[in-house]
Amino acid sequence: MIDLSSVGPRVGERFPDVVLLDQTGRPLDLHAFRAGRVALFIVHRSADW
Amino acid sequence: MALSYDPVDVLARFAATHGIRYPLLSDVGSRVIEQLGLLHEALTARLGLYPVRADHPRYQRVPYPGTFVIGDSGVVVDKVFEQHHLIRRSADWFISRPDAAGVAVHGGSGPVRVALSLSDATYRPTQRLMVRAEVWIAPGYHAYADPAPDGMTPFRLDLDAVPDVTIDHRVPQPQARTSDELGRPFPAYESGFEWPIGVVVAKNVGDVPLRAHVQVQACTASVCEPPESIDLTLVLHGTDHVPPNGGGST
Repeated sequence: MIDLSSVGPRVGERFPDVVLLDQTGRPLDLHAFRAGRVALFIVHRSADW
Repeated sequence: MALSYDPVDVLARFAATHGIRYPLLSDVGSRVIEQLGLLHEALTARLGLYPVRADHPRYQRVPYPGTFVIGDSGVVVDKVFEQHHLIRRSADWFISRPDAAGVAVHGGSGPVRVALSLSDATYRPTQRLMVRAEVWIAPGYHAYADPAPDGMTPFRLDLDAVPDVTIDHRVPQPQARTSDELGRPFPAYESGFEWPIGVVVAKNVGDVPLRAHVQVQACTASVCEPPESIDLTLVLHGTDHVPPNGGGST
């Protein structure tokens, strides 16, 4: 069994800054895009699985 | 928004195919995935159990599948990750309205009432959905949890087994302790509580009937009602565009 509580940023921590290209090829800044809103950040395996 | 290690063109095609309008972030090489501490190193060994080409790019540097809920201040307020890379929860699980799917059934005629609802009206294979039982207990009453005093019926909630469906109960902790006539303490539920049940349908099997059976005996400090059985049924529908496996001929 994997200790999933230790996977990635912990509850209570600020989610790190992330800037990556989105599906349109444009850079997207995670926190700027949120603009103060609650967000779901989903991490997944390849969409081409 | 979502994050994977796919290139932009793969994500663009995926978004167009499934009508996805939220951002899909491309992390080719899993650099950010690794920086976030999300690299699923154990998966590489696990892939040896499957008939796949483990050296294919889609199986390289795979992240743990899961979801973060980021609050309005940018702080992680919740996170959900699964042990198996195929299992993940639906978005409606997180939006978390008990009747998010608009489907609920109610039962009970005495001091205990039960409402059963689904997080989603339809399922996709390996997606973890939630069945939520909301139990209301009339003021002045309690329902024994397990173990109950001799001769008393403890609160039980069971879902009938269904082929290809995994059911995972999150039994809520009793809120109180009460005593029998000899003064011995027993755990009990009072007022109201929720009983969440995780459901995973392994493959497309068409509509899935979820039949719940509740056993309860409500008591006051001085008298107990007869035990009551409450049966409730919800149907979890397969997605319309995926036909049931094994149906028809090709």
